[in-house]
Amino acid sequence: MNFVSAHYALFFCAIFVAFWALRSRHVERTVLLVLASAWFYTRFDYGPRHPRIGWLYLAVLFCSAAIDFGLSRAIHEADTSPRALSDAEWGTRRRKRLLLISIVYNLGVLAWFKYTNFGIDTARHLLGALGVHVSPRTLSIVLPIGISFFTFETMSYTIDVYRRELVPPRGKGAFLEYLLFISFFPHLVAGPIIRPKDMLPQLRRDPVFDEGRASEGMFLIATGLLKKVVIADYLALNHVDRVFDRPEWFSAPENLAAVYGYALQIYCDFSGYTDIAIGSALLLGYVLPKNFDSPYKSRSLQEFWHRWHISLSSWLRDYLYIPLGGSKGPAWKTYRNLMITMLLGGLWHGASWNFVVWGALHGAALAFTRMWQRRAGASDPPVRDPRAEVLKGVLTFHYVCLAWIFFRADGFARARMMIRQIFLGGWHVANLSRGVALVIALGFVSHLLPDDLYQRARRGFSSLPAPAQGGVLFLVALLVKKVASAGVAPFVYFQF
Amino acid sequence: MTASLAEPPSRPPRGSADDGQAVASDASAEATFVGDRTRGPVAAVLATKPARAIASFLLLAAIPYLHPSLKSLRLVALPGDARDVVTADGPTGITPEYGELALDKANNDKPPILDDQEPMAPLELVAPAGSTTAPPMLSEQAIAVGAQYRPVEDPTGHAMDGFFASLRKSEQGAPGAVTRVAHYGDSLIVSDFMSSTLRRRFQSRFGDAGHGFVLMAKPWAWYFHQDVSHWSSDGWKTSRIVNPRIADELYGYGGATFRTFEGGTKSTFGTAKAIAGDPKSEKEAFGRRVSRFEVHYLEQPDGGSFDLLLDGKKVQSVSTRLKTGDTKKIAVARVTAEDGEHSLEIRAQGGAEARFFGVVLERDVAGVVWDALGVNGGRARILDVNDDGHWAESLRARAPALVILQYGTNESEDTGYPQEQYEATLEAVLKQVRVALPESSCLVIGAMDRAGHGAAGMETRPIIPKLVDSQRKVAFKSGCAFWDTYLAMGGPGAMGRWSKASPKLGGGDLTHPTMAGATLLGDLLYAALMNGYATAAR
Repeated sequence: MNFVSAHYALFFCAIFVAFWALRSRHVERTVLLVLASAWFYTRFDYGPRHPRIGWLYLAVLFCSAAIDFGLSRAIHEADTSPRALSDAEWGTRRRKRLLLISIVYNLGVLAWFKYTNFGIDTARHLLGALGVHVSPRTLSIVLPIGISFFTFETMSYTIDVYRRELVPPRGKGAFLEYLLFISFFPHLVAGPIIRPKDMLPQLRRDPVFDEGRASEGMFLIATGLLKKVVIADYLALNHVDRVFDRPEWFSAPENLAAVYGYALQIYCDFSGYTDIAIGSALLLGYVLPKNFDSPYKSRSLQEFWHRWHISLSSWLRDYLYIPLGGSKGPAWKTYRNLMITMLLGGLWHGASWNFVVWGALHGAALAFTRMWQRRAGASDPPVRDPRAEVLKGVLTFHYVCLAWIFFRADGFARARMMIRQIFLGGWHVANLSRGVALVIALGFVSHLLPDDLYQRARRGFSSLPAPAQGGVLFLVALLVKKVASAGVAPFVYFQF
Repeated sequence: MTASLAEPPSRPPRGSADDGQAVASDASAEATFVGDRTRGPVAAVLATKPARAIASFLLLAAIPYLHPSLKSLRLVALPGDARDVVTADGPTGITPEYGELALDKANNDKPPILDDQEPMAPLELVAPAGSTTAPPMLSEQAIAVGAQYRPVEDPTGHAMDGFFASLRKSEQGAPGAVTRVAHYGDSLIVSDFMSSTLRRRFQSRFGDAGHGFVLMAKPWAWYFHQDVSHWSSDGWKTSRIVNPRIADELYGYGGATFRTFEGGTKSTFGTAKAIAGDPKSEKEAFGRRVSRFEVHYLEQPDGGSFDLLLDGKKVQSVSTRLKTGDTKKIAVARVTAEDGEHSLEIRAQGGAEARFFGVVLERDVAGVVWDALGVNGGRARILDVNDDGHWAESLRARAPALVILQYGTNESEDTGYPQEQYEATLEAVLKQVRVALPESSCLVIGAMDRAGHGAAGMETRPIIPKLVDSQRKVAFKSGCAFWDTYLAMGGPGAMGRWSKASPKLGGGDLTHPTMAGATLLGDLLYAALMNGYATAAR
């Protein structure tokens, strides 16, 4: 079920009423949300060849949840069992073994669905390069929506229990709560990637209806819709898709506009989705973590990753980069760890060498930044030159855009062609409409405005009388409907 | 624009390393509520300001359902709003607006096809004639999205005779045995996506007799031609069959006319250029040779003059002034050259209006020429806007062996025009083609699938199958053949699947195919035409 649809609006209204009716009945309320989330998940369209595969993938989701829930409990019990108390080494070995089973299972499922054909294809190319020509058949595997997100969430639960940072809850409804933590529909298919420590306590206690938060939720849903449909879809349909499809047909400024447009598109698409997810959760009394913080204001790659897809970058930091050794140890190890983290982060986005290159570009730049900082002796000079800050911001943005070219292009040839056209293409702008140029300009101007203005708008909306708030929501819905008359594009991050 | 939610929960989450169990056990003690505690939980929530805001929203959303005149404000269409009628508010479809657009400078230097795409070798088509099974040309991805081989439908068995006979001559290599195809269509053809695939396929199989017809300047942002170099200066003003129109309704072969009064206004056409330093692109064979340019212009009273420059050297001056009478008429200026890489510049002398339609690039060898004649926002009946006699004259000047009409996407957007009237206007347009070119074949290509969001995800718009039925009916009635794009794409829900495929075959607008999708469509039609050709030969 797509957030940008009347079906979702009706679905959410029904859940909203039923949820608050069951507000103080913990088990019933949890069951309601689990069933609603299951329904939401099975409503995604996998095409006529797979009419019921949504139900199968729901089973995959529930199966992963059940296995990790059981393993986490066993890990916890290995600490507290009588044998562990007498034989600490046995307890440690057992905990490690159980954690390993969880990780192998989760990554195995992810690898099967996401990387099998990529592996077959890569092996075929490598063998071909060695002169061994085989033509293995790729398998017909359909990727379950949201698998990358829920796999990371179940893994973080088990790892947190292993690290003794979380005690797996017991008692009535504990598994249901866990199931809801994994499957809660606002974040199920495209994040934010939530942590058990943040979410489980919220799910346990009875929700509180807070007018201020609910108003903020509505405001976020409205802005999310505008970002998604009015900016992201508009740019994709009217410029970005066409230019990325045939970059050689377009001039330098047109290609450059497509790259800037894509930077804006992917931000508005993904952060728009996140806004709707966070807004929906807020209306149900739950707080999901912030996932974006004006990423194109960043003055370094490090800062970018503190502002872009925050829930993923912090997950990679806590569960991959730091376990690899983080920035402790010799400098080369830090650079290696950064590179590995970003390469795997790239691969997380999709089974394609394009994503690997995207990750490598970010990894290399992060390592270079770290090296530069080490040589300079400090990450920030005591006095900042405003012109230098602007220059750093511009350079960072353009490096991010360069990486986006590889992220978005269908194959290296097109990415290369686009870069070539940007430097060597002609200078006409016959294919760049005023509307597209205006939306790109407005998008970036609004992105770069001080956060305070956004907060003021949010507070302004909250202070409006209820009928006026309803009027604003209606106007937004009408605008979305008009702009999306040809159909709303699927969210970019559904495929990851 | 900030994805905001900086504040933490008003009470910090209590889950921590050691209190998971405790939190679960005292959950009921946490129950607090903002709102009226004297009411039930639902009533209390519904009395809050956010709930009243949502109620106001629902009320406003309900108002447009009270009266049909407010239909455009409805957020969700009612079943009665479904588009079960075709096309717009009059026989010409679009309310005419007369005038012209000034065009900016445009540069369409197209390097040959990208090196990551499959080489455009002739397809081996082994599907038996009339078979509905997929020929082996279909990729796994095409099969996965439901694309399927569809034959050209021709109940008489003779609708394509003229085309196949001409193809046979081209195949035999007789000098001057050029088979021309006039491919009219909408945005899909404006971009030359599908038509370029067909051009390359046919030229690979039967010989490259040149690129064909290109409009004088770029009347739409997305007007492209593959494998040809095309540049125009500013100074051109255009009128088109889709608005702004011109009072005399003379739009030539391609549906657009270009005027200039200014001396020095120019357009250049030439063979495709390779990407410097790209060996694969340098090896590309399409669009690299031309031996004849034809400039289609209008002879009119007080018409101005223009110069023709071949490879930068002036070779001819042409006056567009009518020699006799005062009836404007289409005229053609020809420039020949040795077969090879060339460019032709058309430069207006100024002082009086010179009016043009387009330029043809051809070769004097046996083969196929595929004229891509797309019009943005095009509908079949809009071809009727062109003056009947003038259009017939333009068609005869090119003498295509096959005329293809590929429309439907824009018609699917229109409302309020009865299906019978749609059929009648389509029939009238086909009749004009048949009268102008009685020996030629005609082929109606059915509407592509177009998706919208329905209860079961992305679904075919209900209007599409109805449009296809009408198009098939009229094609057969007019003695034309028909090819069902909708079923070839995979029938119900096809565009939804195409747009979700990886790489994408359908665009995010759920209406247009991507380059890869258009190439697949071109291949499917090529397969259908070639199977028909093979059957006719037997």
